[in-house]
Amino acid sequence: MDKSEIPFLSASALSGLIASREISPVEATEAYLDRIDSLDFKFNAYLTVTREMALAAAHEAEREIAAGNNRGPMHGVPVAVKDQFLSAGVRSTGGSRILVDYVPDEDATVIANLKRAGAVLLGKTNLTEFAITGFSHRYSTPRNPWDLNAYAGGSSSGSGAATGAYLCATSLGEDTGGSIRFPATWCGLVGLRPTWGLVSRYGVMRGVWSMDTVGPISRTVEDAAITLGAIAGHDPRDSHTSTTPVPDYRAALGQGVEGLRIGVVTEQMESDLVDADVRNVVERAIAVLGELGATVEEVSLPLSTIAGPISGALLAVEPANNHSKWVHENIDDYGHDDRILLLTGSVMPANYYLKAQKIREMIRRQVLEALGGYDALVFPTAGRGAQPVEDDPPVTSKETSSRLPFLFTRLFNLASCPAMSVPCGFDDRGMPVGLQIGGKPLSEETLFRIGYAYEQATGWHTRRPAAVA
Amino acid sequence: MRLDWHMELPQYWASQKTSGFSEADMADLSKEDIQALGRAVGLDIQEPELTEVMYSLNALLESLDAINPPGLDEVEPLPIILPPA
Repeated sequence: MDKSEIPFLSASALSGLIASREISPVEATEAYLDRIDSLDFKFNAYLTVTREMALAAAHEAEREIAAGNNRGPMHGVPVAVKDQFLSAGVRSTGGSRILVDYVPDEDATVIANLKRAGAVLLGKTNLTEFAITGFSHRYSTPRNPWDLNAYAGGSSSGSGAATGAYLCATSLGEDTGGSIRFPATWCGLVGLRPTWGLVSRYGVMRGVWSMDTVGPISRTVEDAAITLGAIAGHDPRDSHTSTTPVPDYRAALGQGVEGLRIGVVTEQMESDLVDADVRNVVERAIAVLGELGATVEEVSLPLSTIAGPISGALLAVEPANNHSKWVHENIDDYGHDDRILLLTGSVMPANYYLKAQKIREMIRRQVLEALGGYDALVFPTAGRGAQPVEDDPPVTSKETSSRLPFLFTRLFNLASCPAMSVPCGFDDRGMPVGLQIGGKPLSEETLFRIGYAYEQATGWHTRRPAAVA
Repeated sequence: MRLDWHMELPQYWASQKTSGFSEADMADLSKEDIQALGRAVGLDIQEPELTEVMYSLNALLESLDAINPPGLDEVEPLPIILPPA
């Protein structure tokens, strides 16, 4: 295989060829580094490329595999990680100018776990400032591989752009209100927000402590499965991580959807915030699940319509608290959107925050009650495709205070449930659309099973944007 | 008044009508209100942020005021989500 073709393999296919020693980890790493060197000026996906460390890790992987010591499906696979995660000896900016020179001395657990699995870290990816807003970047704005004038989605924008532009084999993002699934849907990728507590948050810059979750952004469902398998598991340094053994997520793939019950959330499907072309694409995708043998029924979740403002309150107050010192001392060092959000969260009356937490509990109960009758709930990940890049607009009225009213990811964050976005077609402008599949806590295998069945039946994951050739 | 925590408290809360106060009738906060809230937490909020924070906070408060699902008074806020076993 020509070296320049290696980056277009799925991570799973590359993993197989590395295991069979048809491709070496060094070749694969060099191929990705070459692409980053020649193309990332278009996508702005990376904030830091760890060339020397990556090549050293690739050589080490090559030696180990040659010696018959294959650590598993991520061994020798080049990955990118969001710069929200601390990395030993590598600057970790959080996408902020405030931390432009910050070099931690230890890895976040997710990075340590990737290294333990033998993955090769290509670098740290761009993100919205501190991952607490949807669009506002302090460095260059990552571009959507399907339209370089459009956003990649946030906050894990660089991981979406890097994965969609074939500048890494798979990547990690972080999802507090939808920051994995949002770039996944807009870049035509698979993004999984795991169950809260499945993946350690140690060394992850905080957003909302009870909603922050690290997960994969990948080009295929199988790639997401092997990436999650490498990072999940109990961590004594995060007391809220699950002690449940991590299954082999790939084992669930290929089981099909026959016998599964899938609920279509009517309030989300029929929302005015879903463009008609997006709704049509998602309806067709849901019909495919029925044709594949799943029982598909409509289900009503009235409280799903208020997930936006409830998460909005939590996503204002908790970051403002986390950033309190800098808000008081360095507020002008933040970009526009973060500045407004953090000041707003700083002055929100406590009774409103408490009310939001109470309603969150009601939402969580309603979601879990619905999931008592269904294996998964489905609706669009976002109500519209990728939007054009613009300067951060000023808030000129109450109506313009939210830039993301069309994002439908927050329901599962509030409910602490896993959810995955899978590419399901394109809108009338040719921009990707995502089908969101949410499930019970620790039901990632079911989500992978559904996503894989759909993906294999439709083949959307095989489409390649023109800008990445 | 002395309460038996387990037996009498629910009735006590009911008698206090804890949600009887409706924020729904509240007028939007003014710039002066925002500055006062800021001062209370040690922040001096000035233009150009002041106007934007005013709109942003009023939008959030208005949304939350309008959300009053049945049963809200009986729900406890979620302090901790236990890790899945």
